[in-house]
This record gives sequence, structure tokens and C-alpha cells, in this order.
Amino acid sequence: MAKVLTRKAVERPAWLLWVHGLGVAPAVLFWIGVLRGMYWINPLQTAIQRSGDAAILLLLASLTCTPLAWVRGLAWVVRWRRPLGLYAFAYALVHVALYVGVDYELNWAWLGAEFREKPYLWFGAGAFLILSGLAVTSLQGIQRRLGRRWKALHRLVYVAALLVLVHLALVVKGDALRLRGEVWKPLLAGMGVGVLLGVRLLRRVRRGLSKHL
Amino acid sequence: MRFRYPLPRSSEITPEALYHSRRRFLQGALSLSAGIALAACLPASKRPVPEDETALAPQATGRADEYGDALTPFEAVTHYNNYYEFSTDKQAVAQLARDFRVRPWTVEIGGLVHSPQTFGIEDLLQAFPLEERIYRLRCVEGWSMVIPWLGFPLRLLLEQADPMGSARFVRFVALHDPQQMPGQKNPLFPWPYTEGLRLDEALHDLTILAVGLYGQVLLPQNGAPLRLVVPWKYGFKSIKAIVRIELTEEQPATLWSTVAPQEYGFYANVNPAVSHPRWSQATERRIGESGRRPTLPFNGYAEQVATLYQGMDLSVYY
Ligand code: HEM
Repeated sequence: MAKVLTRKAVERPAWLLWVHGLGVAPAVLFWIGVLRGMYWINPLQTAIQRSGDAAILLLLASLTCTPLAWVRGLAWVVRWRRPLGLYAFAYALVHVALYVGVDYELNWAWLGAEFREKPYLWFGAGAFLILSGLAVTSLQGIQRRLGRRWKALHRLVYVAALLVLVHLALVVKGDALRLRGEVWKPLLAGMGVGVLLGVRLLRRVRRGLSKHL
Repeated sequence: MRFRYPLPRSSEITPEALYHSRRRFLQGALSLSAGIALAACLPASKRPVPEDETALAPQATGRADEYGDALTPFEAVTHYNNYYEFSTDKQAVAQLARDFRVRPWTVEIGGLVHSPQTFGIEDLLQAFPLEERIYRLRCVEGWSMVIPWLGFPLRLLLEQADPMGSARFVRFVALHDPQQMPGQKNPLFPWPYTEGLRLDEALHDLTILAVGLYGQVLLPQNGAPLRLVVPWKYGFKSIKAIVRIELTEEQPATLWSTVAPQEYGFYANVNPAVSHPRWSQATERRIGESGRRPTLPFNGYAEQVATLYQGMDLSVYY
């Protein structure tokens, strides 16, 4: 509990503003684009793509909080993790709802055919299921009830990030592994996920070593 | 070989309408070249943009395709362009392509032909009677449009060059000019854009070289000054800004089938039965409509072209 106190002491008062600003920014930017008439020709495709982009960006932002909080004086950043993660889920929800509800108009036969044949959807759906589970269990009541299992459960966020990464790599026009085509998004996201997972593994290994020495 | 339309085309036009459309088109072409001649004398910043030069009202003589589906609005056709040479953002292309120089422009016809030749674009515009063709354009990304093109059958041009008996394919090469086409600075694509057709596909009457749309000179973002239109194939086959046409014996490499061969084949016939790893090929979103509609085999041109592929397994030759 000492940690919480120090966190409170150095916390910026405006932190909530920043978090919500970051969370709402993609929607605001999109709306500005809409008002400027930038997407009128194929609005649905743009909306699906931009909501997906926002979801993965905020997911990465949320994952960045933990390693940032290790830095002396930045422990308070850990508070951003939950709201950013919830924003990521909100955009993912919009993303999926647009696809299923607006694009396919709940035509389950057509949707079923798509899901049967397209692996990119399996990875997206897997990630979406995990994010939904995490969003529900981030309610404080449930969080408390789950106790220590909560932490283990929420490690699944790394699985979700990896699944989204595959979803993204499969969804761009090109071949990310052969560095051909329009692949900068999965490359950047891949580096992001790589670094975020890497620093954590590194810390584990270092801690493990120092325990043994 | 002769090709006929089993369906009456809605783009059947009266001679008078054709006359007007041609006149309007030539006016556009003249004012465009005049504007560009003028532009050479002006400081770069004052160069008039093509959109201003062709400020004639967009006007097609037809209103719908043969299924009765309305033309996609001119504004959408000219501001939603999959043209990676400029940008991967389809709505950014019109702006980026504004200053693209379409004069002087030459098109070389070579390879396995008896009379290789080089055409200036002006001569090419005059060489063949222009026709309006209202075609559906189906993008591999799962959206589609209905576009009134102006152009002439590719066959007419190929016949002039007199293909040799050994010629089996036609290879098309687009302009490579990273100064003008910023997207070509992206090293992840094997520029220039190249495409190919089997010779019988290239000679089919539905295959045209377009020089205009909506009764106007083609704008840079739509592939000016000369582009291919093959309506029964996914849009990426219809290469833009063509500078070279070559007859070959071997099947030519194409840009997208080089980038991702497991996704984009040489044939790229619109086929709802052959799935793509990302976008639905079974259904499509018509620009301007909400929801989806089923995609037709060969984009609705099966009656005219299905015989070209008799006996071929289209899931292998996708
Ligand atoms: C059932 C779940 C999902 C479905 C059905 C789905 C569907 C789609 C579709 C159809 C596209 C392609 C849009 C296009 O290019 O036309 C797409 C792209 C994308 N999706 Fe998903 N998705 C799902 C889950 C997710 C999740 C959970 C995330 C992130 C947290 C995500 C992030 C993305 C991203 C970043 C793109 C690329 C957008 C771009 O092209 O810039 N998706 N998704």
C-alpha cells in the first residue's frame, strides 16, 4: 500500500483529462474528417479501418503504462492502464459492430461464410473475445472477487495484443513477413508489441537471476 | 475473330448523342492541351489544375448499366482512386495527382509485333473512334462502381501493330517517375506498375483503352492520359498511365502477383466462388449504397467472356 501513497503524492492532478483526451482523440479526429467531407465516398470501410487503428493504438498505449511505471517518479502512470484499455475495447466494439451490424447488416449466412474462410477474422475475433472478457472483469467488484486470479487473467492482454498483430498483418495489402506491399502498420505494431513484451521478459529474467545470485 | 454482345447494352447511343459526346470530349482535350501549353509559360505556382481546365459539366450519354444500376457520381469516380503511385489513401490521390503532366506523352507498342510503333497521345486520341462504355468496376477490396468510360477497343491498337504468331500475352507498363508520383518512392513495391493479359483477353471487344470518362478527358487520378479497362477482372488489372505495351510469348509478371502471389493471380477474374484472404469476393459494397450485394461471376460479363476460360480450373488460375 505504500506504493499507492507515493503514487498519489506525485500524481498530476490533470491525469484524467489526459487519459480521456487520448481516448477520445481518434473519434474526434475521425469526426473532423467526416465534417470536412473526407470520407463520404466509402465511409464504412474508412470507419472500420480507423476504429481498428484506434483500438490497437490504445491497446499498445495501455500496455506501455506498466513498463513506464517502473521508471522512478512515474509510478502513477499505472493508473492510466485501465482506462486506456477500456477505450481500446470501446473502439474494438465499434469496429466489430460496424462490420457485423452495418456492413453485413447481421446477415448471418454471409457472415458465417466469411468467418469460415478467413483466418484474419479468427484472430480478430479471438482478440475481441479476450478484450471483452478483460473489460467485464475490470469492473471493481469483480476485480476484488477474483483476487489474485485477476492478475493472471489480465496477463491475457498480451495474447490479445499478439492476436491483433496477426489480424493486422493478415489484413493489410501485402506480405508483412517478406516486407512486400503496404505493410508499415503491422511492422510498427509488431515492433511495439515486441518491445513491450521484451522489456517485461527481460525484467523477469533479471529478477530471476538476482534471486539466484 | 469477332465478338458480339448477347445483351443489349444500355450504353447504346444515338449517333447524335455520340457526336455531341465526341465534340465535348475533343473540346475538353483541346482545352486541356492548351492549358498545359499555357502552363509552360507560367510560374509553377500558377499552373492551372486539370480539374479547372476540364470544367465542362460531366455528362455521360447513358444513365445506368445494363442491369439498370445507376452510374456512380462523377465526384466519387474522380475522388476515390486506388492509385498507389500517388498514395494508398484513395481520397488523397485527386489532390496529389493534380499537377501530373499528361503532355507530352508517348506510348510504345513493341515486343512480338511486325510493326512496332510509338504513338504520341494526341495521335492516339484521334486514331480511333471513341465509344462510351458503361462498365461496372469491381475492386478486389470489395467495393464497386458503375463508370461511363470513353475509349476504344485495345484490339484496334494491337491490330495496327500486327502481332506475330508467337505472341501469346500482352504486357503493360505504367509510367515510372517518382518525382511526379510520390508513392513510387515506397521501396516495398516493385515499381513500375506492370500488368498483363492473355492475347485473347486483350483482343476481346470488352477490353478497352480509356482516355476519358463522363464525356470528359480522363483526369490524372483516373489514369490519364491512357489506361486499360477490363471490366470482368478486379480493378487492379486495369493499369493506369500506360507508357508501353508489349507482346510476349511468356506470361508476364504483374505488380500485385509479385507482391503477394498467394492473393493476387495473373487472371484476377471477378469470381465470387474464389475467396480472398481478406475481402469478401462473394459480396460487394456498391459505392453510394449501404449494405452489400452479391458479386456476379465475371462481374456480370459471364455471357461475353466465360468461354475464354472453358476447361480451366478457375480456383487454380485465379
Ligand atoms: C470479431 C472481431 C473482428 C472483426 C470481425 C474485425 C474485422 C476487421 C475488418 C473487416 C478489417 C478490414 C477492413 C478493411 O480493410 O476493409 C479489419 C481491420 C483491422 N482490424 Fe479488425 N476485426 C476484429 C477485431 C479486431 C480487434 C479486436 C482489433 C484491435 C484491438 C482490430 C484491429 C484492426 C486493425 C488495426 C485493422 C486494420 C485497419 C487498417 O487497415 O488500417 N480488429 N478488422
